[in-house]
Amino acid sequence: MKTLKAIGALLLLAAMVPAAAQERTTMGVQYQYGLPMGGFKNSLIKDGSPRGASIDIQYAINPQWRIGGALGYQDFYQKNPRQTYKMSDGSDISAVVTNSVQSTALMAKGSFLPLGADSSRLQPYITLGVGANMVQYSQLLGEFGSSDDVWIRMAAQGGAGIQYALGAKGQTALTLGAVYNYMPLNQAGIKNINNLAVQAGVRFILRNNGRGGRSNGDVWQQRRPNHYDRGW
Amino acid sequence: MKPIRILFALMASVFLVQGCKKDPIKNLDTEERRIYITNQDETANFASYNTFSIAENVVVVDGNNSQQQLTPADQAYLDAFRAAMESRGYTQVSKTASPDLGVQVSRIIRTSTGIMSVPDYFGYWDPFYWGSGFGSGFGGWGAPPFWSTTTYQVREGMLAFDIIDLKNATTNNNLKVIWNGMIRGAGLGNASSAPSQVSQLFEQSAYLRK
Repeated sequence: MKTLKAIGALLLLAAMVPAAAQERTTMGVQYQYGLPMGGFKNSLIKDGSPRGASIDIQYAINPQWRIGGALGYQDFYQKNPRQTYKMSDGSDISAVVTNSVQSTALMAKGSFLPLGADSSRLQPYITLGVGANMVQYSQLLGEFGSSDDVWIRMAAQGGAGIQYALGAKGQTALTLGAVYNYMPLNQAGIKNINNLAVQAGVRFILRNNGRGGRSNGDVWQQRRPNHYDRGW
Repeated sequence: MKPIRILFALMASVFLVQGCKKDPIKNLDTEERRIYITNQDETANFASYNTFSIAENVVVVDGNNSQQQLTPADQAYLDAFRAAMESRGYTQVSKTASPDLGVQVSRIIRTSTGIMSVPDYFGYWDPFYWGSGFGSGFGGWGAPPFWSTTTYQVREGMLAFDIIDLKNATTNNNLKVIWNGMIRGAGLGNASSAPSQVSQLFEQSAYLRK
């Protein structure tokens, strides 16, 4: 339900963007591969996760800076080989222990493009984000659940990457990058779920064709692309 | 493509990704679904016992009711346990030959769902088989106090193996369960996997030997 609310907030944010500003508003969609780091990797889940994605909406406030919001999701899973565990009451339990962690993070996000309004199709970028992270954690002993919890904690991230504008209009760009997610937890013996997300995706300009925004033709006729005007 | 369409497409993508969450239970095979729990009376000296006898039937416990049964799977578990005891140096004798240890195998059936606390099971002995002078059934004064409050969600029945101290029953004036093993999860009625399941109980109970 919280995820739905977060998606709703992003939709509302997009809807509130004035039509004239939509030329400078972009939406990014990234597939991401999550790699547990540090204590998360050493004590709970060491396997990388191919089950992740993120979306963001950003507004270009000047040629070098964009601000907006982002929603990211990653599903971590680890099945451990059967092992015998000594319990505090003296009993021994042999079980295949499975740990499952889902992270859904909603963040305010800022991006910096060092090349600014440069017309190059290839643009490096740096991102910073801070917000809230909903962590769902479950642990199974065999088919029997021993833990099933949900917590909300702060989260922050920093990342870098490159984007490459496609086509003559340059309305879409491919993106490739990585973000380090700092996600403290301090629950159930889990200090954090810090991870590195390698991302690949696309970025679109949110347009408002025929409703007051600049027309496709206007952009098309520009002889020299200006990425700032297009939200890049 | 209009922005609203893009947004709906993205929303659908997020739902799709959420649906891709790996289901932990679906990724377990039958063997992996089972858990094996063993416990011992810390005061028992397992090397001090020489002989054992094992009940010919499995006691099926359903709530407060119990009855004896012997399905092919039950027989497989009894045979496997007998072989495991002998591999640990104990000698099987008949019940009338004053065995040091009695072995009772029980199938616990729970018809209700919910959370079952491990202390619900304190070991079981059949008074009609081992003698009625020392109480019977769940708990009683012979119940070992070694269970904690750990809880597990019960989805189906479990198999319980109890080793009872018959050698010191008169001295102690009670029948004492000195070792208990439980198997819970999927595939409990599978005769072919009975030996490996029983083997796991003994593997994690290295102290259980003559």
